[in-house]
Amino acid sequence: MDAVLQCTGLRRAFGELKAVDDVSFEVGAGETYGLLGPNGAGKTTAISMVAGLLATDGGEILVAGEVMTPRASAAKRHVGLVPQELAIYPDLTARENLDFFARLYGMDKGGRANRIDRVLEVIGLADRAGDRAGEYSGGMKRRLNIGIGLLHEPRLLILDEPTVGVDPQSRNSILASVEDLATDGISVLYTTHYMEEAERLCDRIGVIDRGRLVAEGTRRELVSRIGEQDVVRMKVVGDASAAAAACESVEGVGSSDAEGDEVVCLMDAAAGRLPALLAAVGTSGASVAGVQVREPDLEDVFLHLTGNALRD
Amino acid sequence: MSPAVGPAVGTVLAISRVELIRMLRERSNLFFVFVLPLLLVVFIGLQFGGTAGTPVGVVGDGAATDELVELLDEQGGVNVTRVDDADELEDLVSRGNLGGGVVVGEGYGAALAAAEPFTIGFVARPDSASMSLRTVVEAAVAEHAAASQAARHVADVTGLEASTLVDLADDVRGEVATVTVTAAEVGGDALAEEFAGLGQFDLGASGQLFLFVFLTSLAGSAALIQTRQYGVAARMMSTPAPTPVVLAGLAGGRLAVALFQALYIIVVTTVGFDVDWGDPLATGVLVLLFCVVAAAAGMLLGSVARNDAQASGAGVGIALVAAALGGSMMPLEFFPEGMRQIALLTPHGWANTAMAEIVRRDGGVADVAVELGVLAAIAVVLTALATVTLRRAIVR
Amino acid sequence: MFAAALTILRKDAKLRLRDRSVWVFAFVVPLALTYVFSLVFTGQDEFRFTAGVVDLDGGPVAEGFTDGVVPALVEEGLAEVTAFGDEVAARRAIEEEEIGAAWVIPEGFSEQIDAGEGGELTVLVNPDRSLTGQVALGVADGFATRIDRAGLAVAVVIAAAGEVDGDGAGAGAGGGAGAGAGGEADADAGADADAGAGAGAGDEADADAGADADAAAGAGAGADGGEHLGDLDPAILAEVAQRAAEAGPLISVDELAAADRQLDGTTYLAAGMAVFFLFFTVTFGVTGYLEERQQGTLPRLLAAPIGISAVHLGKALGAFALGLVSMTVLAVASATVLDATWGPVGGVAVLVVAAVIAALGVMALVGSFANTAEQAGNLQSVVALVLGLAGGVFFPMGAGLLGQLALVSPHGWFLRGLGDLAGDPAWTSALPAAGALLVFGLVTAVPGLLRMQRGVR
Repeated sequence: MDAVLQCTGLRRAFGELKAVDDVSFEVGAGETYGLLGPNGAGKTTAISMVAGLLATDGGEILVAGEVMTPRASAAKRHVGLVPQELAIYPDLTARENLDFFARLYGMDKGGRANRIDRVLEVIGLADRAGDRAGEYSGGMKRRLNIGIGLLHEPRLLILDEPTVGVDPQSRNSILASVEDLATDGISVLYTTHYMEEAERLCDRIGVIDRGRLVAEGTRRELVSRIGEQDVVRMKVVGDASAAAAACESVEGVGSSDAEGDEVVCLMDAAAGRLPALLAAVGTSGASVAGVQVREPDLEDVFLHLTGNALRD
Repeated sequence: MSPAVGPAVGTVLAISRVELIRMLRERSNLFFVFVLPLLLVVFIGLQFGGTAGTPVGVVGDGAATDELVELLDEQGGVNVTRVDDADELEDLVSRGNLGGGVVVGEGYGAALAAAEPFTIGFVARPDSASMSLRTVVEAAVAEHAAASQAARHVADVTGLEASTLVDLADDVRGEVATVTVTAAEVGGDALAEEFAGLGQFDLGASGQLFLFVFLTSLAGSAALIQTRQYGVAARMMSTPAPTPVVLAGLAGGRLAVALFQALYIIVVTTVGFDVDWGDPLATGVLVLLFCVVAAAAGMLLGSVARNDAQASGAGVGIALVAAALGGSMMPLEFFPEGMRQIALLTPHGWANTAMAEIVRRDGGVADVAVELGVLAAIAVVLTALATVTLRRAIVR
Repeated sequence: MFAAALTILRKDAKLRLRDRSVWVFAFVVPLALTYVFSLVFTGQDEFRFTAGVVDLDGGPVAEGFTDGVVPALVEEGLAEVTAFGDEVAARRAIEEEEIGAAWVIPEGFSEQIDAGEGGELTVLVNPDRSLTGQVALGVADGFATRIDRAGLAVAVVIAAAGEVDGDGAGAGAGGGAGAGAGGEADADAGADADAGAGAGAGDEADADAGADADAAAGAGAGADGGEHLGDLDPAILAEVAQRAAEAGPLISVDELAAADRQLDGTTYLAAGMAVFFLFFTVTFGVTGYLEERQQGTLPRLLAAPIGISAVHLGKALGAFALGLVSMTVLAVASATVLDATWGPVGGVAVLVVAAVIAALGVMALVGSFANTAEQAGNLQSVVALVLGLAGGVFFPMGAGLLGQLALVSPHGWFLRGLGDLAGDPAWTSALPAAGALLVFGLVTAVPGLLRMQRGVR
């Protein structure tokens, strides 16, 4: 796998605060890589360095083989940035916004026009291209914001928390367009503190906390790495305590407790052992009215790795 | 309906208080509200107040030059400044910093003592005002040289020692009957007399009071727009306070800001610059009415303008133009005739006219009743207009 | 870098043109203020010395004034003088502002002078027109001094003569001086006031005797220890009086012309307003990156393959261009609409370019202390106002300390430069002021840019 982005030993401090501390990761071609962490974990500092907005204190960043620094024009050509806040000129039209940034990326005249049309098409603003961006709806502005990042056909697109403060509908359309990008073969570096987004979009995820990359891998890898048990919650009719006691004997069950009229079991590989569990409840004289099995999620992983909750 | 008066007043005061606090929290306002007015009062005081007269520079050393300077000063209407050298003098005159200049060369005193001819330089711009000053200088020089000149004639005829004759002439001079020149003032609104009683900073202070009260009110209308934009206005409307109370509170806020500015200028100029504000009652009513006008104008602008940048920009522009037209930058009495009529299109014009009556002619409320009436009418009209537009702007 | 800077300039220009506040601050407000100020302030129009003369005496001494002094003033082009029959008419003319001042020569003036009693000239002045009053008083004073001179000279002779019998000497001196001077008066055609005075003395020998006797008596008392002439020769007195009457002033006043480097009122206001608002117009050029930051677009600009210097350069170029355009428009508009005369194009262009650079530099330094565009705007307004005030854009600073204050302000230098051009239209005469403006620009721009570079990282 050709790495489009290679970060090795990234460090950056602001005064005493080590915002990013020895972080290394790679993003492969066509891969969507998520940086997951709570607010203030160092995500924005990390991608600011990757985008060449911020100088590093140490470490190396290679984008498509080129060294990235704040003065590295060659590397910057390979990167498209979609800042967290809207970064568009409200008094310019969508087309003018795109044209301006296309020029900054040194695109020649012919290529520029074609590419702008194409991007307008992709972000669904072709028929509103002549209107001022300030008059757009929130979702349209967001799409334009992303479109500008795609304009110069970057190898790597950096999306910094693109869904913060966005209504559910726009959020869905943003997530859908990121999924489309992946199928187009663009590498995406995506930061978020929403684990659902990371789970849905990212091929691989780096978990970052207090400036350090604490774990990395596919969602499955991450989850299995901590060996978390499944959570089975059964609503029972009858004596819940007796049912819970009966469940303890089932193979793989770590713990089984009664909570009101429910029995909550923590167990390995719950999927294959549900029949046995139900049977155990039956032997206690109670019957099962409902079952809920939950896989451990990144939230649990994060909690496990850092002792902190992902969200405040 | 009879809403409890107590709570309503409380609400109005609460809103007013917040608006005033917001004004004071904005750091740049510290300059515009507190420093700039005083700066202008001082500048204008130094510029137009104090010793009037055409500034004339004198270059030269020695006792004789000092005597000549004294004689020039006595000419009245001339304000003599000593200048270091002739080049500087030429520069100051040519730039208009001085009306004209006198260069007294080396040997002036010796020439006077020996009754020898001597030439003094008069530096003037090629305009008639500057050149006319020469007459004044010539008169002073002729007077200064009178004894020497007489001695010269006597010496020429009699062959006596000239320097001795100069002393002799100085001695007998006081005994000879002379021609005196007296000035009698005619016409001119007796302005000079009127202004003579004014302290150096009085003129600037009252003009600047109206300028800044209006400026602060109009520029502060941006705050009203922020109130609208931040949604605070909507939130206020959603409280149980009735709409009129909220509107009154917002208006009260603008008025509080205007009054604050006015009081500040009055207090500081009274204490710091010894400015005379005249009859407290008349001045109080006048300033209060003007503050209402200014607050209403600010409110109107704040409800008409679309964004805060637009409001403060337009506010500053309108405030400066109205102040200039209304005689807050230069006394109305110095205006060309037609412009005095135009001045009365601005509230400043009326306020400055009233202030002149109160301060310079010791007028009371009765003497400025017309001006107060006009300002009250403007206040009522503007307040009504502002209330209607503001209501429309925040009640949707 | 240059291409990117131009792209940013183009974009900014587009944005500025769509933002009405630029039009308002760069063009509309300065022009409107100049117009209003020029309406208000042009009451102080050009000085014209107009005076009246009322000769109630009609005697020879008075003629010395009306036929000597006054025509000389008129010939020099310094005054317009009207004769009035009586004081009431002259007063009315002053009240109606037809004339600025009037000289009144009282009845019997000549006789009084001849009698050695002195006399009184009255000058009617309008207190609103102090310069006119001063000049009128100066003219009268000069005339009085010349009359007094002859009397003084005679008194000196008498004093020098020492203990001579007062009566006899006085009579002789008075008669002789009068006769001599009288003869001279005709030859002089009354051009000299003193000749007139002398002529009067000659015609009235009786009165003269008494006058000079008085003078001698007084003078003699004060003359102890002085030189003694011995017997007083009437011929000497006559000769002295004649010389006193004829001679020009011992101490003459020679006019040294100074160039007129003053701007006329309207031009001063127009130029003052233009340069004042220039400092507001250019602000976006140096703090535009703060706006971009606020707008969220700064990261995007920094992520593009251009340097931050391209952003600064683009902004500065844009502000430079806008500054030039606004100054040019204001100059042309005020010249055509308000009759302002800015001066020769070459010199004004040099000054305008230098002023725009100074404005950019000063505002860059000030802006570098701010973290947000709003903060920058407030700080810049404060600095622009104070510098404008000090530089005299609202009212010119006088001499002395206040005048020097103008030199710490680029506004003051700009106006001074225009004044230099008014004195000497060669474009090189604008160079000292332009140089000072450039120094302002460089001294402030360098630390400003350094601070900003640091601020962006």
